[in-house]
Amino acid sequence: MARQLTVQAIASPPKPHARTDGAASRWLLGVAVASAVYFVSARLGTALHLPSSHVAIAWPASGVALAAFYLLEHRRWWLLALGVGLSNLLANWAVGVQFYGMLAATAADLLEAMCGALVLERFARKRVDMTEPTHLVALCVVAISVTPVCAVLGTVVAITPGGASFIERWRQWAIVDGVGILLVAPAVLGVAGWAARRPRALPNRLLESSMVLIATMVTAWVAIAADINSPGSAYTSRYLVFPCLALSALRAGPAGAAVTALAMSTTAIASAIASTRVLSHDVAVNVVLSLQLFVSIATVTTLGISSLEAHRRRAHKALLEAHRELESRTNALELEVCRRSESEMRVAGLKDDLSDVIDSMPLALIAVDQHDVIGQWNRCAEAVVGLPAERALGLPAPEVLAEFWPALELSRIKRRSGEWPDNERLQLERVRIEREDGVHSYNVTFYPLTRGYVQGGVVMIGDVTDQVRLQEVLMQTEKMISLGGLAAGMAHEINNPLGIVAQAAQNVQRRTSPELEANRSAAEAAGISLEGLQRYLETRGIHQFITDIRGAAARAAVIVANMLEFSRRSPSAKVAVDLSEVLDRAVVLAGSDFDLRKQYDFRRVRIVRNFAPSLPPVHGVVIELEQVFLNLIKNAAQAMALAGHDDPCITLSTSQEDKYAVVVVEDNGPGMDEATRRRVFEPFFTTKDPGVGTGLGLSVSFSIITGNHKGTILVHSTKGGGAAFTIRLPFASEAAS
Amino acid sequence: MTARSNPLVLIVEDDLAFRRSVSAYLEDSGFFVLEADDGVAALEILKQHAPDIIISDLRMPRMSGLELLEALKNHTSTAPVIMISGTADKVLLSETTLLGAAAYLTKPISDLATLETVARSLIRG
Repeated sequence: MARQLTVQAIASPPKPHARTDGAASRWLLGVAVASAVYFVSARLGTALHLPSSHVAIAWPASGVALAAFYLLEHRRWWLLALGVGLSNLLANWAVGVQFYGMLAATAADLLEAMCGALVLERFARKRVDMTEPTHLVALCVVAISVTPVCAVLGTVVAITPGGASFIERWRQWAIVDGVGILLVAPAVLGVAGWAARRPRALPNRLLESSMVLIATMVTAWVAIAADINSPGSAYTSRYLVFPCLALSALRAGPAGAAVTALAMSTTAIASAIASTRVLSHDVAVNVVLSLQLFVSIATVTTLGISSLEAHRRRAHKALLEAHRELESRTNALELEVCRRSESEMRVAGLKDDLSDVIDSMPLALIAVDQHDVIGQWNRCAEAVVGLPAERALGLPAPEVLAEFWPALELSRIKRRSGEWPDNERLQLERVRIEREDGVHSYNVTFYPLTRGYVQGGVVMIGDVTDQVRLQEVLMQTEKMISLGGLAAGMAHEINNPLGIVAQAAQNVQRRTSPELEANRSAAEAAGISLEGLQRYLETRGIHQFITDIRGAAARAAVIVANMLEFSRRSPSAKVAVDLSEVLDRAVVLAGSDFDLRKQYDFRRVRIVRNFAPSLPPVHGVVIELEQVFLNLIKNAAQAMALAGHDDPCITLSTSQEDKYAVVVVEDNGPGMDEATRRRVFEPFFTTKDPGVGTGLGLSVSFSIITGNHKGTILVHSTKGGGAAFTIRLPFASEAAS
Repeated sequence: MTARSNPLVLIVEDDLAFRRSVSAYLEDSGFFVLEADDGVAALEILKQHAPDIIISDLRMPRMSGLELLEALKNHTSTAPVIMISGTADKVLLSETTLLGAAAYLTKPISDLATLETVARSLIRG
């Protein structure tokens, strides 16, 4: 069962009935319309034949048939042929043509139309375009070549005795059919093409075309009538239709021109027929036939002009379009140029940005080529090397960077020999170089730069002087802290033996004195007199020695105590501090400073105190402030001692300034120059001989005042004009709030 | 006035020379002197003697001055203690008074008369 069903399904595939039905009915309608039009035009032709003639003197049906065969589908040509043939037969039968004549005429007319359609198709595949000169030529070829051949058939078969000669009839047949094709077919094809394009004709244009049409028809009628009614005029009036036709050709378009030409021809022939009724038959036939030739030429000329005009318009339109296209391309090009220049500007901006970035780098950045010639030199490089870019560029790097280059020489050798490993960089840390303003430390990095085939390199130099100094300060601070601990431990260990020395000396003094009962009894037992011993000790200066021992021990005790005061950092709780007291104690400390005494006698220094009475206390750590003032006093004393001052004097003054207590420690020593003055608070900056000063005193003072105490410390000094350190500290009341 | 004319003093100190110089001075001043070289020895002596005053070092082997003070808190001895030390940490030394010390002195004692005066005033008080 299943197999049978399959076979059935294959045998009868479904057909798209609806679609073919729609197309077929449209086609049938076309055939019906064509047949009807053909019948009407054929009847018109048969009606127009003169009473003495057996051939019509005009046959528009040939053009209708040709257009119908050309336009309608060829697959069912026989149906169209049937319709057209029947129409032909009917038309001929109506005027009483003989049967064979009818058949011959119908056959000839059908053959003519079908052959003509085939020829036309050779030139124009699917649609005849009246604007195409070749199509126009094809139509002319059909009219000239096909109709005479078919006329032979019609004329031979339809020959009737008692009429005009065969040649005359053939000529007439050929002319009227050819003229029918030339006049009617272009109009039908033109209108069909115009309708197929679905134009949106402007009302003005339609009105204009219609008026030209009417004018042409009127002109044709009048001119032809005038021609025929005045035999001596050589038929010159008819040429008046040309301006009208030319106007139509230029203004109405190919379809309009074809219609106008047809209308003109019809009017002219009608006018001629109307006018020739008065003439003899032969003259009339000749007049009408010659007129038909004339209108054919006029029509072809009109169509030619309109075709050229259409071409011109098309060319004009194309030109306009090309112009527009050119304009839009020009605009696009301009836009492109704008965009290009914009992006160029952006690139330039980017380049500027990049060089700004490079210039703003806190590193000296120097690029060299394979010959070590400098190609890039940023602003920091100018500062580090001290050479402006315009002078450095193009110079050999080993010369310009002489200070750094010895270290970089190895890199050059490696680079030249091609031994530079990928991603390797040469790094030199803390290259120390002496400058006018002291020793600077630099980190130098070198890495190869491959720029195309050029093997260059980049040298980066970073000034790390500050970092190195800071690191050293940190290290020193740690050292100082551990030194403080050491001093504390040492003091403890020294205090014991020192105590023993002092106490033992005191016991010696006491046990040789006659005042003690125990001494006297011991002396007696020993057999000596204490008075004698006393005299002896006195005479030999032993008492003095012992006193010296006790004095030395006491002094040592003071030194150790001071050392402890210094090393001790705790407790650092802030209390209300009387600055006058602290200053006094600093002076005392300076007086007992062992280092100070070693070099000169501090007592020679005159201390002037200008203390403001009833200065409110400041908020601070006594020991730290003591240390600051002691530092300043010591520095002043040392500087004055070194300068060999005659009357060294340190003035200590306190005053009140707004919310701050101001302490000024001023000396009349040698002062300092500007470079020194600017750097006095820098750690490890010292003008003293190596081993004498650590360069830490003032920097520690600075940190104590500005850090812990929220105060300020400034120095005023000129070379030879003494130095004054001004310290501002917030009052206790202010600090508390 | 209950104090004897010859008060009994206990000196606790690990440094022999130091101890000797102090005890010599105090003996000369009329004190009876007992000596111990650390806190342990001092507590041993206190089992048999009742000194009028104790002078103790801070840092000593076996038992420090602070530990001795701690031990004396619950002891039958009510003798006042004078702490002496060469330490740099004066805060610690001063804080011994909070632990029961009656007074403190820093080493070196340049004049032993100071110690004697302090001791006598404590015995009297």
